[in-house]
Amino acid sequence: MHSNKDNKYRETFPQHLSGKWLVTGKARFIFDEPKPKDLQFVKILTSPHAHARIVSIDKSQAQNIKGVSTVLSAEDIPGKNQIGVVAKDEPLLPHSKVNYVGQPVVIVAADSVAIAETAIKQIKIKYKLLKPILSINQALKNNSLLSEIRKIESGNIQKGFAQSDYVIEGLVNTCSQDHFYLETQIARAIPTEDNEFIIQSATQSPSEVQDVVARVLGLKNKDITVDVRRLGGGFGGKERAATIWACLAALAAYKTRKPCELRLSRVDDMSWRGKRHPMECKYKVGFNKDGKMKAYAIEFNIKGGAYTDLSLAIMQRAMVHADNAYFMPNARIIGRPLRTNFPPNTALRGFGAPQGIFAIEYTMERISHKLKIDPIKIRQANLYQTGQKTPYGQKIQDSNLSELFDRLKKNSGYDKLVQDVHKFNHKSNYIKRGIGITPVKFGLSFTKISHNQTSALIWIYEDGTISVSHGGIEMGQEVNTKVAQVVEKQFGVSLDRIRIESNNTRRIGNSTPTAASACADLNGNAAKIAADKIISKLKHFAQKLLYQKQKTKLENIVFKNNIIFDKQNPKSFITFTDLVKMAFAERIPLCAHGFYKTPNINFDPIKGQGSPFLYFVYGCALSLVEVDVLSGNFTIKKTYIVHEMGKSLNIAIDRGQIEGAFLQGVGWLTIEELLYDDKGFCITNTPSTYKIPTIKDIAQELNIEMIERDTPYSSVLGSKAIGEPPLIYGESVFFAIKNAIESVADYKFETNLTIPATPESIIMAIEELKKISD
Amino acid sequence: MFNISFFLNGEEVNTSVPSNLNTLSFIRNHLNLTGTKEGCSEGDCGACTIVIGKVRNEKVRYVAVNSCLIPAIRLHGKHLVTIEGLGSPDNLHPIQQALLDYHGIQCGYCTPGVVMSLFGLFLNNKRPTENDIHNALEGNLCRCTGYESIKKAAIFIANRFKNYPNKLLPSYFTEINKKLLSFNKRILWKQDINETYNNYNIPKSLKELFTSWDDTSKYESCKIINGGTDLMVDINIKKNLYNKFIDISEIEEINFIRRKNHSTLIGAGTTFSEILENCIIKLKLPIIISTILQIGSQQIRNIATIGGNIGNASPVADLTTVLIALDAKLILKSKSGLRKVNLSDFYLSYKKILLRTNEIIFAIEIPIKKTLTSFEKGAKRKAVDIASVNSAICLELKNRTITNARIALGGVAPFPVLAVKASSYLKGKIITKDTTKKVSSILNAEIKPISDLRGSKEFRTLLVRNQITRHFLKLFPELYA
Repeated sequence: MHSNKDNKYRETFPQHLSGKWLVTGKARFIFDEPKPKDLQFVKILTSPHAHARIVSIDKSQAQNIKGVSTVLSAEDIPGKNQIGVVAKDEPLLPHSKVNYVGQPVVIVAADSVAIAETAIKQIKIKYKLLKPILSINQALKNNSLLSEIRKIESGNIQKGFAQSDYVIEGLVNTCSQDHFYLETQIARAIPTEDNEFIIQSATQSPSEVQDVVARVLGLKNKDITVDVRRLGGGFGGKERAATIWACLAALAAYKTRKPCELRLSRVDDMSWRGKRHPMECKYKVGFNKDGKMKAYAIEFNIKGGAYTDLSLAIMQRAMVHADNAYFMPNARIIGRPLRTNFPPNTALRGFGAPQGIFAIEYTMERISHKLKIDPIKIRQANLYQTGQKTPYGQKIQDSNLSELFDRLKKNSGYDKLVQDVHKFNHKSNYIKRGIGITPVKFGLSFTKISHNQTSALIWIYEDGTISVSHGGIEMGQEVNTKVAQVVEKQFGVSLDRIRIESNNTRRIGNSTPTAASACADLNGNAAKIAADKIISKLKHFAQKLLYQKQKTKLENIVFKNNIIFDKQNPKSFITFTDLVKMAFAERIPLCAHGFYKTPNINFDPIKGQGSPFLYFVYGCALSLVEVDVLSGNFTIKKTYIVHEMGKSLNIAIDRGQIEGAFLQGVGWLTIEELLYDDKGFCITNTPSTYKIPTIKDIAQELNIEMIERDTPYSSVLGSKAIGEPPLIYGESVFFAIKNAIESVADYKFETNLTIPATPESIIMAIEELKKISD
Repeated sequence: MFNISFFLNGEEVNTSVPSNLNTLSFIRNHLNLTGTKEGCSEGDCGACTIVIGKVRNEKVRYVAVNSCLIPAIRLHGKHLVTIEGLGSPDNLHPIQQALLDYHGIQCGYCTPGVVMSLFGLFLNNKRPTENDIHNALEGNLCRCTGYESIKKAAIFIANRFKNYPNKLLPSYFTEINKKLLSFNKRILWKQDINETYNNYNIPKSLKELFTSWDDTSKYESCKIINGGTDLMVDINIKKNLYNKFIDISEIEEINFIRRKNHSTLIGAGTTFSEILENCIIKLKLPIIISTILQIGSQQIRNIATIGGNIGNASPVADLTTVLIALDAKLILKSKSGLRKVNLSDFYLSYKKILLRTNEIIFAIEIPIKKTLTSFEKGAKRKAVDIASVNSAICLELKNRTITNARIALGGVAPFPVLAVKASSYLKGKIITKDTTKKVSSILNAEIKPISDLRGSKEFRTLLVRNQITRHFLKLFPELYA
């Protein structure tokens, strides 16, 4: 590992900024922080009912247990009992009514976890049961909505259908998914002096935590400091869903005036928290003999939880991804956000886009089946061309989807692959192969326009080392490595001079959530702006210092390899360290704040029109799977991914994101099955019952082609976002399984394979096909 | 509290622990080493993986295990290696360096566990194959990387160090084994472990076990713990607190594998990993090897024992199903002597077994005959999953005629069962495609599966049918050509 080639690899793709600490177990997550002597442990009594009136709460016995410092319920909240952000509809602790199983009702803070757990058992709550809403159908019947329905319309849908050679319609249900980050939810609240609290929270939204904690404690934002070093995975599950635990820890700290820690066990974490939104997708598509779509109508019935959470934004993203990579001359997209008695469903990598995309890809498969045309051809026939408009009115500026498809076909040897599969299936009775294809066009920027801003703060210290704070959260996506690379490049210094600080609301206020894949884009740009501000001052100073026989031109001054020089006279230079020292002596500012907002975006969520995205990420994937017809298990033989990424900041990081997201997408639609009992309690609440992919579930061959290109439709230093788009590639595995199953009846019929495609779902689908075809 | 002495990353530690503490909590809260992470507390995620060295038969054996599944008291006399015992940020261990170089780290929460699993692999396997790497890491969940980069790092290490495996050992390993052996001779269990509370007893011999049991007042309602991979989950997750334990994991007399006439005897205390390495089993009972590889993860197999697995009486225990098909017998031992029972008669109802008070499973006797055997497991995930249905078939043949048949099923009844009717139907039959169909329909009438989170009864019924097809397909491929 120490050849020159390896060194070059390391230089080209810098390693994880905290890698050495993580890999030795020395890097601290919140749970690893030394425990203050008087630390109190918070445990929660949650509702066992999905819907019930609270008749009475008796805390007296719990309060009298030795070692218990406080027992708190709704009445003890000093400020507003309200943690909702998009809609103010969610209490921290319910006063009179519980709305989901696992909703916190009473908390205990005690000297030890064991004492807190004992005390919890001594709390008596009387409930009067109410009828819960536990399915999409029940919610529809009761018109149980989180908000009004939303629409996006383009062209004339009726005309479109009338002009189509064929019209088909149907319904497909996407499933939920647990985040299964390895680090469960945790927060620690530490009272300092003067009614001030420091919150260490495993959150993707420190400013939201700050704001909401202040609100429930009846304090001001200036009184609350949130500090986040790193998360052990987030995937959206700590964007909104981390706030409640931070608030509860803060409430306990407020009452006890002692540091309080609240950490969920895995079982509690999986039982009590909201997950990916299941969506019932009712589609109707009109198309011509050549496979070109004329009209697409889709209605998403979105299974939100008991409170609004992020459901409306997730619905919005599903709606603006309902087209995926395809041009629809006439479209009608409807989103209906349903309120049910489940934990508030929330963000999960993709944020609605995977569901929206799944519906149209499912529709593509149906068109292909109807016309008996190769599914890849149907997809190619409908791909966006530059200049066309999306149903919400954004112009496609730089689509290279057609080229990407050509690459995919070439890389996979598509035509031969299809032939081989047919040959194989002809000979093999019990093992069947199938191919699935899924492209992606993923819109970058928050559809909530105000979220598209952030800032960064850079200090160069006297010794020439650099401290960078930014508004993003490091949660494994290596935003810190990327931001450090941007700063490194601007100052022309080596990475070891740069420290990326924890995210702290004192240094970076009003930060927006680390979400929407936009974190490196936003914060990288903010850091660049801050760096450039300092550099512009330093350049003038360097100009003076480098002045010798003739005046150095400002634009010729280069910061590189830790030195500053005139590129026309590179022999005379000044080191970065010396420059900084002298700049300090000359009272030149060595600090700057960079503010960035994403330009040229707009969106009206009510009208469903605008150009919400700065750019799109494009790519496509093909998977070849083998389904065991007898066991219902499948193996991914090969997956080919072609991914366009602008000018990547770090190819190794971006590849890691593709690999991880792909497998998470596969898990979502196949083996990850969430089950609830008839009372609304999640019974798959442990890794022994909820199965995420292991190393044995990866593709036998994963072939990723990463295509770099210069495009103005990109972000910091020409790079593109990477976090969420590749999750969509996992859908190709689902369609490959479906394709393999359909070979059982010689592709004569379409299967109603239910989602997720578990062995049970696969076996049942095969049985059904066999029955129909017999 | 119990006094324990052990080596921690090469250094001797003397301390005391309560009986109900697991090693993960002990490492984090008592030793204040926070590199070992908690991800699930039930042995399913691998974030808390550690390596433990144990003296057995005068040798030190190192294995990677889930620290959440091991009572801390069991560290007595062992060598505990945690992530802190490998490299430091300034001086990374080669495994750590490889993970860093190959970008096998994203959020980093699972990383220490991955490092320890790989360390455990390379300690036991000087030239691991890709398959060995998969086996070693199947018990480490990572939600970030998609495993590709981790796998690349592991393959790099395997190639790089194949001729120099000792370079992967921290310096303190050179002295530690000697120390550990003499240490184990020196420490006395009874005296060392303070017996005032007496709620956790670790006998070193069968004699000691049965003597303790004489005092029935003391050991009434005692829970026997062997590997503990299921019991500890109960304690950690379901908070089932047992008052008293007898831990039989230190009794060497129940840790053996030997031939006896026409059968093989496996001591109840033999771990799955030990069985996997055994030459007799590899040669004579390969079906057991392939089945065990489908049970749990590497970390689980390193502590779980065959006796514990049978005694735990899971309705869908993979190995039990196979052993019933193989017509295995259990040798049970109490103070009054040995008795032998058919494994297929051992289960009475859900989690109720034939074991008497003050009796243990001593060994499993497996007949070695010329048979055709096959095992099938139907589970959601390829690795580390509990089956919806499993089945095993064992046929004795003369030409194409079946002279004896045993079909066993798990997941279709409160305990693994022998399908008596279907088995007896097969006797005397000539194998044809029709025979297999007929067997399926007899089985269908014979079983009464239920619906639960691992599958509906309809699905289970279909799986049984399909597994029978698969068995015959594997054993008689010519029938299906």
